[in-house]
Amino acid sequence: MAVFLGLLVLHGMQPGPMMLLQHETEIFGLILALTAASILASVIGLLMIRPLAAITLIDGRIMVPMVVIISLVGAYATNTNPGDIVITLGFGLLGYLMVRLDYPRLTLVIALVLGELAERSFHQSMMISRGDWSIFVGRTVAAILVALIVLSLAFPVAKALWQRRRAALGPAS
Amino acid sequence: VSTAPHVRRYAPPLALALVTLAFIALSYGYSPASRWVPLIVGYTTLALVALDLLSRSETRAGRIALRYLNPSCAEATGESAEAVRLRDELTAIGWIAAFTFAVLVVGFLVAMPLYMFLFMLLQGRFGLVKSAVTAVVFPLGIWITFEVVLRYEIYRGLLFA
Repeated sequence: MAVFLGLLVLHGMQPGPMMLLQHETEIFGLILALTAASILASVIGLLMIRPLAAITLIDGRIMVPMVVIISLVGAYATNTNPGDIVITLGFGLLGYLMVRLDYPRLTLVIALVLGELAERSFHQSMMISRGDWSIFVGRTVAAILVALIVLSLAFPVAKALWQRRRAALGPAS
Repeated sequence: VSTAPHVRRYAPPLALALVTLAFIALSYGYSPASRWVPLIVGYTTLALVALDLLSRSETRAGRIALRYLNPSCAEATGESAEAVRLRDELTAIGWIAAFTFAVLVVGFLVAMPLYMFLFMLLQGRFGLVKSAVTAVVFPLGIWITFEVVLRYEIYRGLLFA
């Protein structure tokens, strides 16, 4: 999902409720393309299943330089900017460190994709309210959304606590 | 010597805390309106770093925090990660860093076959002929795909640009 959102942004489409209205043609094209792709992928997948499985037999010592080269060429080709090659290396190192140190990667990817939209919306809200923070809780819709965020954060902890308490009480009762 | 495991355990969040503090300090240099989002991100990260530090401690509160906030980590043994030697990791990173540097200096067309050949010969322990053939064929495929078919001019490097 994060990659898909990133692709939308890359093509100038801002994910959100206005996307369907502003890019109607592209969205319906996307739906048709996804339908056709699903059918084609099934057919091609069934036909190519044996030769594609052979890729897993390629020696890692050959695959590593190939993957590195394709990644860096692809990173450069996106904007034809040499700086992107260095950024790719930096984020590659960051990603490896995150894997190595048990930090989740998906949350960072989602934050990078949606961060720009969140920052713009935050500034718009602050401009509308002339710097008054109560805009985020003052209206009913905003207050409900904040309450939902708090609930979604608290629910897993509350559920775990409740299950633990129930398990502790279980054998006694 | 006995402090090494403790250093290893607390080093990642402490390093992240230092980066975050630098980020917050830099954010205060922005205008009042522009600094809000970076400051929210910075202080939220500090709060998360504090939770991370707590969850790494061997205290009761730390174990509770780990269990409820990151249960997958609590279950992980970390044996596979520990099995990787630091020297191997640095070698792998060094190869990629060297290739990136070569790309920036001499461009993809020179760096690709050079990297492929040297990696396969020195790291992969392949024969001279196999390394050389792969180092020619694969970059040729990349060149045909990007420059001929897709009509992208791949980077020529600082020396040949």
